[in-house]
Amino acid sequence: MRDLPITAKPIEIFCGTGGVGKTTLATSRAMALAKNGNRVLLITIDPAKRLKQILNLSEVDSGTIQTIPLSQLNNDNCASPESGCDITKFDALLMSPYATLTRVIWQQERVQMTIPGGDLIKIMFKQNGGMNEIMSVVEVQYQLDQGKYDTIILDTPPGQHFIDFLESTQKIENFFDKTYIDIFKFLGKRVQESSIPKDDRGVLGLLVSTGIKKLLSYLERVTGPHFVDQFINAVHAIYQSRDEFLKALQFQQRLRQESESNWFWVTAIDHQKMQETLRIQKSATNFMHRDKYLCINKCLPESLISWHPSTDHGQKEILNSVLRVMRERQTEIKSFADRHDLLTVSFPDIIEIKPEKQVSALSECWNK
Amino acid sequence: MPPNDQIKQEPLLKRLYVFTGKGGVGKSSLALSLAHHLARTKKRVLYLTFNQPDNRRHCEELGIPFRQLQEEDSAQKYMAHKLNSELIASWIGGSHFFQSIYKMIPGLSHLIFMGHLLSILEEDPQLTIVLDSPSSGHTKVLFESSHNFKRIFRTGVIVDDIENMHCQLRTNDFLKIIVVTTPSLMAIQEGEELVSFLSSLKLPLPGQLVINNLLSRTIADPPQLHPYLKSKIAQERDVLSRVDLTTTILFPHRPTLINSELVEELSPSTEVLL
Repeated sequence: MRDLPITAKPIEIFCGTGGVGKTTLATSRAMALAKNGNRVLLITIDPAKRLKQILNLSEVDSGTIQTIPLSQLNNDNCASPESGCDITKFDALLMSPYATLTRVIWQQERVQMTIPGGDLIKIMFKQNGGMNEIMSVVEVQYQLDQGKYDTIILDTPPGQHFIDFLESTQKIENFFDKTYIDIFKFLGKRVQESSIPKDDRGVLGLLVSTGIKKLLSYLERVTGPHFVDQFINAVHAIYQSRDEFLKALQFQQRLRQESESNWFWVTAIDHQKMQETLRIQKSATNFMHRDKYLCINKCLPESLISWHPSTDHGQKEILNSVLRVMRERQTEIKSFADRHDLLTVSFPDIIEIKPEKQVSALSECWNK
Repeated sequence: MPPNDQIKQEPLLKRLYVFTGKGGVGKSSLALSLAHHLARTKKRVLYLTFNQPDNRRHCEELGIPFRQLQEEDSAQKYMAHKLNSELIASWIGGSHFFQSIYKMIPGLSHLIFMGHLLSILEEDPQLTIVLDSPSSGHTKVLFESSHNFKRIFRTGVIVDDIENMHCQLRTNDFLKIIVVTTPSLMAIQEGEELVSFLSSLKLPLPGQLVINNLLSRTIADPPQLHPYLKSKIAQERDVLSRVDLTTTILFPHRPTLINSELVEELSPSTEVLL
């Protein structure tokens, strides 16, 4: 295994504003690393899942790891074996919060619907239920612990949802906050009413002081009693897996270590969202380290920079303003990178209609 | 009485316009432009968005009325209304327990956001809201959350409210969802997936897909054009040849570096989106 110019790390994160090519570049990186002999897992967190389209997967593949032979992206037809057919591959996962909950947290393939509160949990963890960011942190930490892969590449959702993803461990920590442990214990015991020991005054005392019982009775007035019971059961079921959830907290620490992670901020010449990029980068500062790269996607070809439309051109004026805007955006992004002392990786604008062919062409750029 | 065709018909305004689509297709520019157009033609309009401070600045520059809904305030207002007590609602809302649940279950805040938005429309019958929604993945969460919570709560006042919400969204001429794409297969497929998702929730479907940022509608391709631009235009035509053009609205690429300039330029042409 030789090194690529940017050395592979256990976690590699692709982030940035919408439509700049996060998924495409993340997949091209997976391909480049796989060619290099790394064992790679590519995970997409964005519920829109464009990765599905690039890798020709379908919605039902969500939640289970799929193996992608590189020949599929290269469009090789292995008619002649002597031509050295590509057998390298990488793994890919389209995040499914419920699949991660059952496989990682409950460690069972089949859904156990008999658990109290199970149907509520199933709805909460549905594909568009909003739990993608939190559960992906759980999934990544699990995969890191398994040690099956050299590198896990993360394709993150755009904008603010990326920050949600970064804040996930904090949310998990708050949810399982120490002061609530006793409350959850009580809630758990309420399920089997009879089992509450008479001398458990400590917990009841805490309950009165935090007013949780009162809170639930108010909640009951709005939601009806059915929900409160279901909810208590669901919280209890999740609480029982507390340790599994809390393992995910290590993920945050690894993100901060240079030896553990690479950050790739993706931006593209045809976008004018430098302000938003800056703002997101600022909110993410606490989560990252100095080893970060700015990927500049869809760079203009050299020959266009010096090209001028000929004088007999009918539409010279509009063409000139199109060119001016393209060039100025490119200059702006490059000077932004210089000002902020960012390491940059440039990718050409690949004029290719099929997303998998774009990926294949871009994967070569990681070798330069 | 003059015959009907001589009266200049004002297009009937919907109460709520939602802009969505893949990231980076120009949702915000189009949403701001429509809001700007409505404000300029003296309509009562409000531009709403999620966590987009830059767009707020554009609204101030362009005189577009906007409001930033604070999700946690929305939740407290709702509870206060249901419990007839601001005090109890603020106590529940402020409790660590509620806060951590609320943050752990993002769908809940989407439900409350939608409820708050509809109550603003109810309070002001002349108002039209332009909602600049997050990219399609999270728009799905926004529209699906009420259905999920309906299944969770089953009965009670919240379910009644959710049913009212669904009725309102499905009322004729109430809601229009505008799915924005660019001439790339990725953006168009994401748009099409979004349309079939909306139909599964029985929401009013956008009759047309917006294809934005078309270079081929801005410049022609004479033989002496630079090969890069030529192939870009050829690719756009290839993409367009794969879609049914009778169900699309095409917007040309507009070369400008300044967002507010773009909004002002686009604004009159957003009439077709009404």
